[in-house]
Amino acid sequence: MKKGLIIFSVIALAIATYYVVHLSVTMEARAVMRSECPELIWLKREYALSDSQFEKIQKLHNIHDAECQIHCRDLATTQQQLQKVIVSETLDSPTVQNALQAWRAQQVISQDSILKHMVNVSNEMDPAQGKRYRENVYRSLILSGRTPHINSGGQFNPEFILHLKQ
Amino acid sequence: MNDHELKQLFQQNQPALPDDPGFQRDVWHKIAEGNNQGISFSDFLNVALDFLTRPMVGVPLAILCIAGSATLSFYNGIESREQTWVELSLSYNQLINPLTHNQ
Repeated sequence: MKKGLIIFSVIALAIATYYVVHLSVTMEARAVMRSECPELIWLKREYALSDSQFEKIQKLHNIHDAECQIHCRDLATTQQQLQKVIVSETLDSPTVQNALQAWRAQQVISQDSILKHMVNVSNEMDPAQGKRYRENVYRSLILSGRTPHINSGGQFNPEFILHLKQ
Repeated sequence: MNDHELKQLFQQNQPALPDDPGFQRDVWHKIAEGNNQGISFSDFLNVALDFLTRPMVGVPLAILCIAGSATLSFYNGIESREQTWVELSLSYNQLINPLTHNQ
């Protein structure tokens, strides 16, 4: 009985140790996830922002967020219009061409808005962090899987995708 | 001592068997029974508990167990934390990108 109790205590202590260490290692991440806007707290941590920098970036983010919602709504509208006409009419019809043009224009507007926000935010950061922020946003949002022939260094690479041989 | 001497020694020392005609049969029966008996789970548990609670075995094993648990937890925690940062970075990119809101 006593021996069993000793072994049980060791196992219980090992399990308790596991949870205590795990909780202490993940404490910061859990606190960030519990905050009102975890993405911005992540930004502050990732780019080592001071409180004043963070405050300015938070204001920029709020302005961009309002614009973002409008772009998002307009983009959804143009997408719906395009979807409606593209299934019923030919590609060269004026209705489809107009819907395509409106959709493309809205995409350009949205992309311009991200670029403007990227520059504004990076200008508030320390120069090295700002450069890193621009690189990351550019890589994630501007390149983001839409250019499969381009390698991580930005060069054209025909071997990335195997096309049918001519 | 060679084989010859050993044989002589056995012959000189004949043990006095009890005057029971069934004695040899009983002995063989007991030997057979003994060979067929398996170790029960409780016997095994007792042996294991005795072994594990010896200070020479138990103390290093307990330290190993707790240290192993702490190490495993530390690396799992780091992995989990890094995963959170990656998820937040993706989430931030989605947050500022109207193009991804419709996907």
